[in-house]
Amino acid sequence: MSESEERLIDFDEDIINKLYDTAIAIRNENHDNPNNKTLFSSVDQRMATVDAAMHIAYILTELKDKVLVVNLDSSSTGSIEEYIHSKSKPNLFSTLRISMFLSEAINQTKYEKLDIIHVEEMPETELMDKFGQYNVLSKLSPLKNYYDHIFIIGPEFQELENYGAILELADTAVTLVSAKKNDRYELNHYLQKINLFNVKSFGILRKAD
Amino acid sequence: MYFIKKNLLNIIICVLAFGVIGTVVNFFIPPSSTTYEEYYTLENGLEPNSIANLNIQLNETVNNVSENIKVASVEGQSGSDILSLIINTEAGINYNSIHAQAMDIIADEGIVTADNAGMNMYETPNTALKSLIILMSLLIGAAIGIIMALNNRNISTEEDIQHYLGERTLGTF
Repeated sequence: MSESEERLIDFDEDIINKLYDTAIAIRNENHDNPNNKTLFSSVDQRMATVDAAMHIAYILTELKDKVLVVNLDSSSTGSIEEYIHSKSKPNLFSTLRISMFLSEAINQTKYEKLDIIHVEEMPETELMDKFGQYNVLSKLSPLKNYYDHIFIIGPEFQELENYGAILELADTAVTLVSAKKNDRYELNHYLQKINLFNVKSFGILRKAD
Repeated sequence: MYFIKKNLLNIIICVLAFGVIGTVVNFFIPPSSTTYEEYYTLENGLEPNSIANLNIQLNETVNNVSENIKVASVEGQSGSDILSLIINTEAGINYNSIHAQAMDIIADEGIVTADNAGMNMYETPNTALKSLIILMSLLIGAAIGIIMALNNRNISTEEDIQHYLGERTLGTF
């Protein structure tokens, strides 16, 4: 089995084909705005968020772009690792506790141009305290000098009361919805929150159930 | 307009479903009136004034039961040995009671019926009530369909996303 065939095993070829145009659109947007950090999030579609973010990241690495995925949803760590096999332990805040540089929390994956940072599992109140304590935004932004794209995987909007801490890290947002059932009011509420934090909504991706 | 486009089919289904329910209910609606035509063979031919006298007596007694319809009347030709008794009933009027009273009046007039020569029965459907039930069913169905559509907070299609969220759809996977 060739290396390229082996690498495709973890990613769904059909999804890659369907998300290719989106990946190109995000690539063009981020090339025009080099400081963009792209948030992938949803109201209640955790798996779809992971699938979309990781497949798009993979497509971009195949196009020779460097991608850093910052996973801020501790519940998604296992799902993300199934794609990238970094075997890295969540270390975002444990690194920031002893270092000024978020770069030290970066873990390599089995894909050369795709790196990952996972957040540790903790209660929401503690997570919010950590965000306030370590000013993640100021430590994340400089990493754009080393990566073409920084993808932030956000937790489900319905699970987090203070979603602003996540939104203030992002410049653009891709929102995942179900292709069958979504609550209009909840989605509107989420999109209003995005606008409130001056995050540009890049568009909606629908996950066929 | 998009609301109508999105929900029209569901509203129509709701209207038709309630229309079917209304139709089923109409099967159980009794007729507005029933007409019984009974023919009797007489032992003797009718006297010239018998029919007029019988109808006068029926008007004074049996026909007072209803203000809407003529409950009972008789027909026959002078000298004929056939008497026709016509009884109309509506809701609240008991046929057997009317029939017994009419037969008593006929007997009191001295007319002896030998045999029942036959009977026809006609039902007049309650068209107004049935139409009202169908109309109400359709209106209730439309109202329920519209209420359900208004309460439907689900969005799924790319058109929904464009219309309700003002967002573009990047793709579906």
